[in-house]
Amino acid sequence: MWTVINYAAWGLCVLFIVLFVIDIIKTEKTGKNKNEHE
Amino acid sequence: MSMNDEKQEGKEIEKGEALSRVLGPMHIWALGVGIVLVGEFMGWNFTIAKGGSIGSLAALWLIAILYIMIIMMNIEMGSVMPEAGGQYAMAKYILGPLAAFNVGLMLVFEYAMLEAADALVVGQILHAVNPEINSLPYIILSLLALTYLNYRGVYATLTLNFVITLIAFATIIVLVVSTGLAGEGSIAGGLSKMTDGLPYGFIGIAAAMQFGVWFFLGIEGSTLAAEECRSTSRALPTGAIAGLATLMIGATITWLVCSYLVPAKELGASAYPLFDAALKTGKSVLIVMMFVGTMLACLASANGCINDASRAWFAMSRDDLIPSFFAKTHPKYNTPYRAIVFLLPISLAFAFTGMLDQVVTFSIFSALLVYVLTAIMMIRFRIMYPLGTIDRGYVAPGHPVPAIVALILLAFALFGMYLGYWVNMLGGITFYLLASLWFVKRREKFVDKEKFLKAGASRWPKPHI
Repeated sequence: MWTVINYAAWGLCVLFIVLFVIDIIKTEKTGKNKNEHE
Repeated sequence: MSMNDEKQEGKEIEKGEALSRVLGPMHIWALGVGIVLVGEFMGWNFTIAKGGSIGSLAALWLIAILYIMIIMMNIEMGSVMPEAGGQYAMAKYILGPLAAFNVGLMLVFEYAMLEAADALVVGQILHAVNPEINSLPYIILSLLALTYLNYRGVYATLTLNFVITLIAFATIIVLVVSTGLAGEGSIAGGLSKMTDGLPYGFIGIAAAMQFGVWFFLGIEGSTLAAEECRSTSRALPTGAIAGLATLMIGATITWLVCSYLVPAKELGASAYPLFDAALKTGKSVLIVMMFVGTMLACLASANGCINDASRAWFAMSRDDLIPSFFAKTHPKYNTPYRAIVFLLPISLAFAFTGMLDQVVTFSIFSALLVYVLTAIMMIRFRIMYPLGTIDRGYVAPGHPVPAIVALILLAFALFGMYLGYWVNMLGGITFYLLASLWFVKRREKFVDKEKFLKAGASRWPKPHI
């Protein structure tokens, strides 16, 4: 059972990394556009 | 924060570099106590191994006096400098760019390493509970999840810290009450059976002092959120003083309950002293509760450390002491997101080393250096701006006594550290010297001195020196 839970923890790590990457890319794009607009 | 507010404060903060003003005294308390409380669940007990039970208690109170002095000085200087960076901002206006660079770097490493140590402990505890648990994904997960929380907003981050810190602190109180210690008629009798006095004399107290720092290490970080307070002059003194009082009570009852339940020899070598004290009671409810308390204390500490390290890095970047790339705030969450994300792999790298004692020693050494500079800054601050020349949110009483007492106690703590960790100290000094050399040779030329001091210069009269 613990093996499955350990893998689930790894899965959550990957999920957080994906969330970060998506948000950072979005932010950098939006931020740039906003500054250019200003 | 509107541009009008910024102008009122005499600041020249560019759009995209301003933080949200959403925090109150409760959050300052949570930030300060949250970072520190983990020290009551582990680490402090090495004072007993170094100086015996009485040496530990003496070190605890001497270090408490040191922190009272540090907090008094911090609040006085911090209340007139409502900027991110805490001691960094003070060094900026009082000592100049090179000292500010060093203080900023010391703060970043103090907190980034403490954060790594907290995550390491989370992994170790889980592995100790069940050897089938692989600690690595939980170390990484705890840092990632807390970094994400910090990334999404300071208000939610520190509100969560308030809740988990309160629960962790409550577990200590419940342990004390449920052991019957509060109503015990012969506490002294019980203590005399378990404690071992002062086996190494007064040198033991000096040796114990570096671990006594665990009880309070990081409380000064409450000033790092000054720029994000709704009312800095109210939130900072109230939150920081309440936090220090909480920690002094917590430290004393932690020493008492652990010394009462666990023999000194065992306690001095324990990895989780409060958890071991709960084990001695034999009550499963208390054991589970202290496990939860220890985990929450670690997470609260890591959470506060991410907040503080990123604010220091952000403030340095905004002043061009490091590349200005990190000075950007998130357009939606108003957090210094680039600084927060950049420091994550650094903390992870320290956590991967697995060397808990080395990581913590470097963190403590960096903190002690910041305290030495804080005392020096206080002396200089009062010369530059004597009482009555600028509005202060708080006035530290009895100046220069707090600064002098702090310097004397710091000399003892550094001497104690030298006895056991002189190699680490040498490594730390070399690192900061090399960083200073890089700053002077490669970075100082990018610092616009006029812009650097403009916010202070527009608010205060010309200094006396």
